[in-house]
Amino acid sequence: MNTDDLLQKFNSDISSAVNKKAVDEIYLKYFSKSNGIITNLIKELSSLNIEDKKKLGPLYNNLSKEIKDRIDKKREEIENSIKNNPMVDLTYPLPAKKIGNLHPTTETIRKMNDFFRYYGFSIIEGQEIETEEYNFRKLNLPEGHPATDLQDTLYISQKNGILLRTHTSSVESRLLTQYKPPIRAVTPGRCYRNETTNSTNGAFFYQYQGVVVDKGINIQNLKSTLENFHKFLFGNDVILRFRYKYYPEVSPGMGTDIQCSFCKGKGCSICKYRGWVEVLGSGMIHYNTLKSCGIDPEIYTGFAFGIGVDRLVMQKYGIKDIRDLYEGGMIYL
Amino acid sequence: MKVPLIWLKDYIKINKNPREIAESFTYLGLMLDKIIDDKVLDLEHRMDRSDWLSITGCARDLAAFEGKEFINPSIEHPDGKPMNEESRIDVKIQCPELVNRFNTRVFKGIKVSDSPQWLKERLELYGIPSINNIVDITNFVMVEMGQPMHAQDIDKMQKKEIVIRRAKEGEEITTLLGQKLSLNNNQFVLTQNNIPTVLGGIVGTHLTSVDLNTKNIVLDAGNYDQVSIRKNSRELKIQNETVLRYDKYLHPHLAEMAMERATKLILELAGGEYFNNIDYYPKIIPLKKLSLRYSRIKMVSGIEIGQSRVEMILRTLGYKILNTTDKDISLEVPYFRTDVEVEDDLVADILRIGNYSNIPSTPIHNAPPKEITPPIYKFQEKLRDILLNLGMNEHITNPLLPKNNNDIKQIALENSFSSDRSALRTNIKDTLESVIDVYRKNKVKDIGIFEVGNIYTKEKEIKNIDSLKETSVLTAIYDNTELNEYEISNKLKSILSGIFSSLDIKDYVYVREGKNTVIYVNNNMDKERVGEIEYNSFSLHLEKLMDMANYPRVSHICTRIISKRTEDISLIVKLRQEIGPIYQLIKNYDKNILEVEVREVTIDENIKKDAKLVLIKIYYEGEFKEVKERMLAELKDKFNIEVRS
Repeated sequence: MNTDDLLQKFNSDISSAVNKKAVDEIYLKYFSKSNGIITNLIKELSSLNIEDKKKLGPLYNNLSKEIKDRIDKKREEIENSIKNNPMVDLTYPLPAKKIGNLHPTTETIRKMNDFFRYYGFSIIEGQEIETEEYNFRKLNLPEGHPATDLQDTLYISQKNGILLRTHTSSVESRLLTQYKPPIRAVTPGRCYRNETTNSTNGAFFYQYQGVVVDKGINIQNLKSTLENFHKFLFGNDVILRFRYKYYPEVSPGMGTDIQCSFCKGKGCSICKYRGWVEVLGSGMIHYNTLKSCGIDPEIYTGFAFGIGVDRLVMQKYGIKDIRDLYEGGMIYL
Repeated sequence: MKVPLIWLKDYIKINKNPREIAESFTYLGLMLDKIIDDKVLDLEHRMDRSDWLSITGCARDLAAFEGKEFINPSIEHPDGKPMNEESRIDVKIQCPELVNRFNTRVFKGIKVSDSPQWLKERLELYGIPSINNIVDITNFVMVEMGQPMHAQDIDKMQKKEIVIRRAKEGEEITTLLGQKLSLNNNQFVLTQNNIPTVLGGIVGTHLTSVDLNTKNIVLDAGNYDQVSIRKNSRELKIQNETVLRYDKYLHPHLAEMAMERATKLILELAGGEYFNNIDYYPKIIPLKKLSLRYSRIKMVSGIEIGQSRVEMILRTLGYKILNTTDKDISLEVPYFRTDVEVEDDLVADILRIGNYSNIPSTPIHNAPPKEITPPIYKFQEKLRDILLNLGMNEHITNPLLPKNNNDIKQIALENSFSSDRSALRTNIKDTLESVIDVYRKNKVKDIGIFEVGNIYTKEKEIKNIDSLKETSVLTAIYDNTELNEYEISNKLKSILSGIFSSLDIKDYVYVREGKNTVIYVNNNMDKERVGEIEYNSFSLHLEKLMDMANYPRVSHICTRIISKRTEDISLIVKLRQEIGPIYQLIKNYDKNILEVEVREVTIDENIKKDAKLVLIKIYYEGEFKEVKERMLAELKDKFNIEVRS
């Protein structure tokens, strides 16, 4: 095929191209490295004698340049024609393609998971139906212990000691029984209590629990972990207070407060005039708890902490009633 | 626990202001609930420390924390006279399983009158009204030391005895507050002449109460089974200062100490003389002995604390040091510290008195252990993301709902306060469905919601926890007020297809089984039932689905150019003929068939009576003509359909 025929063929190809894709295809047809028409012509040059090379070389080069230019020009034309199309008006928005929303509790739990994953924690939800053994006894809560009063229990079978877990500490006793240290895990989980639901307390609620057991773990490590966690939750400016607090499943126990951000510790109605807001309970895992789970407390020590998720969620998302979270009061618009 | 500051300062000399004192208490473990006024602190009590329900208990801790001396209340008084036949009030305990100690003393020739100002003031600040000096003293000692006490007018007793026995079923008493109670056999009463005068450990009556004419009294300090008092008071819904203290574990030695203190105050304020009387204490409970290793303090806290500092803290808190070595301290736990169980509780005391603020903060240095997150957790998270991308909103609903006696798999709760929350759901739709109404009320037309949660089922008989099952389920509901059922079901099916596509599950079928339509997934040779579908909802069992899922989605990756072609076929199918089996036959007919889509289903009387027209699009590769003919023949044969082309 001589260059004129080729050019003619190209002319008919390019004039029929109506979009960018078609132009790309034409480009490949002529310039593809493996089988382009022009590419092949130029490849063939090497097998020709010097004379022909001198004659055809510049000719092919010009042809190649012209076709490339024409392709670029066509591209520009097409681009301009889109821009000039009066129907393609980019100046007004349209409704979004529908994307779903994550429940704020899931969102909050995910953020906390992200934080703890970074520190090497596994995530374990555990079972909601539990035995007295794992929900109370192994956690140093013998029968009739006054602390069981704090958590009025929903029983499935009192005779068989089967209940709905009242806290995520039950997962701690499961974990410590099932695995050998080192253990590092967090538990986001649904819990239940036999309470009449009001705006701040539900019979159904979420807790977030963490547990670490290893050699050489002490209360300083707990403090450090909680400091970082609080900064993560409330920002670097948060002012923390650590104090002794009793929880049956730990000893020594530790309570953590953050300074009330409304009154800066002076005392106001938000913090019930305490100046501080209680956030989290924690402590060193009780000697008896480790022992009852089959871990030697003379070799291993550990800490645990637990936080109510719902209050954090309600604060962050401005939800005033816990029933809106889990009783269908909340929707997404 | 209310702490009047003037009363607190009887046992510790402290100049701090109420707010500062409250802060110290907070560090010690008694968080300030609220400052009632400048005179009284209200401290939150955490159930463990029975001595924190006494002013001396609070003061002792504060003294240790502030490095001050704790001033013990005085129990010095003249000796009493020995019991004689004339003074004796007989004590008979007929339910020894409920009574650990019953210490009594008889006072004669006392003068009942108004209490002095200091006593009135303290009680009133605490919140107990002043009655007369005797009643006030029993209340004062209760708040001061934590031991409830009780005085009876001997001259009002028909028989000089106190018999403690279990109440008879239906036995009635009228309390001091005039409340009529009907008792049962789990409760116990103090009686004389077989008439109940006190509901044991809970509340008294007027029958033998002390008044201004009283001359002779019998005073008791009892120690009872706290579990029984806890249960009985909850059952009768009685909560008072006595119950508050008696439902904690008190050491029986406290009864003796309180008796001495009350004796001193009665002789001082009401005069008269006292006779020793029966002290029922058959099984003496010794004080606990523990040893504290310095190495344990280091192990738990990471801090080294000097021996002399440790000893000083323990002494101020009332521990008796028995022996010390350079490694450990042996000690006796004081009777008022019934909370102390293990060595670490002593470490807690040392750290607490040292103030938690002073503990350094050190990151964990150990390497993180192997991850043990269950795969199902990650799978649930993945599914949530898939559903969000399909435009669905996540909801979480309370799995508790009313009992349904017709549901034999339902797990019921035995003791729920609320009949609306007396069982666990056996499917998520039951609790999720109501959310749709909230959307509708807000005039949302296009509603897609889902929940990833658990359902709960049981075997016929609950033998143990293994008879009960929690299953992880995803349920989605789609609703659109502008669409009909057919259109809604199409929308729902496309959401479901989206899930399968995201999980790279290709081989799934929906099969009608009786009233339900069941979702099966085939994987190699397995056929797994993974869920159910209704016209506006579906549920997927996540453990099963997870086994069938493939990700990353390998089979979607294409590195060659497929010359995909299409062919439309129109079938006239009987109205009641389900399209699923036809679809399956076509889809699995030949390896050249890549995809099959049911494009349109129309019912038109003009085509044929009782029939529907089904338009199917087939994507194939390579030769199809001959395959198509064979396939259509088989369709005609199997499903009695007509082909329209």
